[in-house]
Amino acid sequence: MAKTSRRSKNLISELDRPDRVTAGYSAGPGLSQQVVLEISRQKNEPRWMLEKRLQALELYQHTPLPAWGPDLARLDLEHIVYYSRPDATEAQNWKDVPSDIRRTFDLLGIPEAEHHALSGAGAQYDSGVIYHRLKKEWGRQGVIFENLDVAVRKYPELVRRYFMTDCVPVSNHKFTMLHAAVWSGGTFIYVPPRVKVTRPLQAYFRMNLERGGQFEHTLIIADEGSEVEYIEGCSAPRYAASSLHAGCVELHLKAGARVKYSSVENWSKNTYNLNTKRAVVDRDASIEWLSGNLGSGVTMLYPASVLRGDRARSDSLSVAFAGPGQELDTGFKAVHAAPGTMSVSRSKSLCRGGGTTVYRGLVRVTAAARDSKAAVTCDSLLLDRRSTAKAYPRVRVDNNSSEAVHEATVGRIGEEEIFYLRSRGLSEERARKMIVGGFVEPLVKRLPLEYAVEMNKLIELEMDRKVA
Amino acid sequence: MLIRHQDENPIVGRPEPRWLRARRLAAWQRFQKLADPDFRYGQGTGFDPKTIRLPYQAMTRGEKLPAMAGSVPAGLESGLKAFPVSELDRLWSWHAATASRIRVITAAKDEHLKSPLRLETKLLSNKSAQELTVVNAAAGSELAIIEHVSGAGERAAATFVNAGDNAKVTIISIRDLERHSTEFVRCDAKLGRNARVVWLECVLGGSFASSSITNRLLGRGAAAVARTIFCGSGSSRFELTQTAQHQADTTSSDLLARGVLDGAARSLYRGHISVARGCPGCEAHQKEDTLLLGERAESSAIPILEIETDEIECGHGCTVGRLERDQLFYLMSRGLDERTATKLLVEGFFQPIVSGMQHFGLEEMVSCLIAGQLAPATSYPCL
Repeated sequence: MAKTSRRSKNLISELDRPDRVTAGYSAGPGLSQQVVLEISRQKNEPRWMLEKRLQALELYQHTPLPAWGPDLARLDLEHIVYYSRPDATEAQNWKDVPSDIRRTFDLLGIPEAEHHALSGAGAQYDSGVIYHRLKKEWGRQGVIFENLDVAVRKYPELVRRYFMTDCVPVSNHKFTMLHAAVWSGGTFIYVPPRVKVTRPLQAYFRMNLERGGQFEHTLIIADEGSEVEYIEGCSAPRYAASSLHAGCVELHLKAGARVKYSSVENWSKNTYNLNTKRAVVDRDASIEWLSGNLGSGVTMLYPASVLRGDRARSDSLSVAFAGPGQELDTGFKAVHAAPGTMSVSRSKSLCRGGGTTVYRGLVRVTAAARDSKAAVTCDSLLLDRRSTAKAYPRVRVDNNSSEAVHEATVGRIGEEEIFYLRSRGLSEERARKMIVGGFVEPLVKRLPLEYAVEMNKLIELEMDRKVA
Repeated sequence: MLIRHQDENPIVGRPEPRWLRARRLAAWQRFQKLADPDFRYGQGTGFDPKTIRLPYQAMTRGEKLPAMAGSVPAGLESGLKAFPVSELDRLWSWHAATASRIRVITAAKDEHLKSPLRLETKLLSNKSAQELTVVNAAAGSELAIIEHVSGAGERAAATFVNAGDNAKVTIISIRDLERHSTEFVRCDAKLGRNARVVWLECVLGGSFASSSITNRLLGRGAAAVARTIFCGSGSSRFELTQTAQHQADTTSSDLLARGVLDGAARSLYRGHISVARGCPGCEAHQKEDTLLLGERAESSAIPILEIETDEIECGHGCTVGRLERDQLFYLMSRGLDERTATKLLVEGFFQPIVSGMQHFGLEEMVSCLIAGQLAPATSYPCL
């Protein structure tokens, strides 16, 4: 056990350390129309995409920062580098990826996992995708797994129909506007009707640049009766200056489709993670969200399911861990807009060393969503006296044949639980870790094995970290 | 003891003391300066402020402070000291400047008022009433107040409770206003060491009813209980807020609200529990349940927790749902018609709160008032 723990500690310190990689192109700090034009030119994009970017930029410049939630005053938007492409082209073989870039992905064991357990894998470094490959058997069945930059040119009709239209509109909020203006890279997945992708597809996002910004876009279209599982992991090195991650995930589930979306986000402690994730779910389709939020200085992330088809279902499970100086403002939104829909959301949060976790959720059952059910539970565990847990849920039901339930608890580790474990011969530290392990277990046991192991280790390390 | 107030019988006062003039003037200046309350709480919750008639709407900005209309009872100055006007929004600033019917209820040190005080208020149509009640419960005292408000009109009423160390205060408020009435009610309590304040509130009918109960637990071991029943039909709207601010260790709070909405009635519930840093050993619970009977009824809930210490036991929850079909079927299979079965289930739903009024002999009255709010059986196609 000691050996694995040491290995994990090394891994974390390695991930916190920046790679010595020279950028192929960097737009320099700040955002202007020139930056947007240059991004679009370098990507050789169609006209409609450039127009969309410019419209988004215009909106962004006239929209104030949100007046609610965590303080964003220290986020220096003037000095962020909004586009930085690594000096590498997209490879289909890990051997072709430059070794200094590959280091991070080797540390994480992604090439190995791809070989054994995945249907396909992608890797993004700052603004550029450096690796993307789908196993041939899936390609033959019509599955598309591409870097979104490539997909814009290769499948323009599909992308134009679904990219930031009715799932996450450009005008949704300030950071979707920013994202639409400068987005780069990300994943595009299309699963044809009735195709069931049996092994997960995975993408990993690494933000290496100081004062960097990463704006990858994930667009998944699961056609009628199809099934797919997608896993996303994220990390960034630790710098003195703040960096920004404002990604966007759009999931379109057609009738009867099933999608499982898992993400483990471990940004370094000076990253502002202002992410937008949403699924539109059609008749009899089912979306499952799993998310672990560990890193970042400030996170604002509220995945949403819009259940617009009859009997659509959504299941969400998330864990957030806030250590010293961190403020994780997360939650889940379920909009029931059709009859017989169902949503379940479970959220667990831990905080220690003065960290703050906030649950901000929404359940909205419209008048049309008769016979619907929604359940939300959120549990917070405070590991010391200096930490803060908050909950701001909202529930609204507009018809008399549906049910919505919200429940939340806040507490600490009970003395008697510690006493019981100590009486069985465990040290107090081991007992506390074991109780925390039990608290997050519902998420961990549903994650793929390699992520589950890492998640456990990350939480143990967070508990060991000295208070700054 | 019975204190009766009626609209047609205002009390004419004596010269206004300087401190009260200064307080009213400060409140009036705030009223002139501040913006109207919004009634919208984000994500589609709350009410459109344009549809809510505020009691001061006939007034224009720039008007001079009206003369003091009521009398000034003894104990008012000390009772209001703990509730500065700087904490009030526009509506309550206006109220503080213009309240005309002022009551002060005082219980001396270790005094136990054996029978509850009864306050009867009947509103008369087209008249607005601004009531201010101050309760000064000195250390070790014990008192109970039963308030019954009926009639039709516009009402803004504030109750400020100072509960000294070990004081026990129970306030029961039953309000069945007629359909076109609007009311704004604000109840604030400050609790000293081991003090206990119990609020039992029953809000029935009216076109718009806003009620807010705030408990500030300032002394070690203080305990606050708030129980609210709301029941409405037609186009009634309810905005209910229950707050517990734990600012001392080993304090406890228990907030519960239950409501039934028929027709196109709408409700918004806001529960707010905060535990300040360095207040260990607190216990705080909050729960809200709404039953939607009417096809166009709507309900929203915003239960908020803000916890800054670890040594606590704290939870909140809310449910919005319908009557259990199985239970209704069971009762109807025993020969009850649908209307009677529904009423029985609604009565059972409110029982945990109504039973708290049993001791004061109000159980039957409240049950009858609730039954009167429910529409005939034909309006329950969902069942």
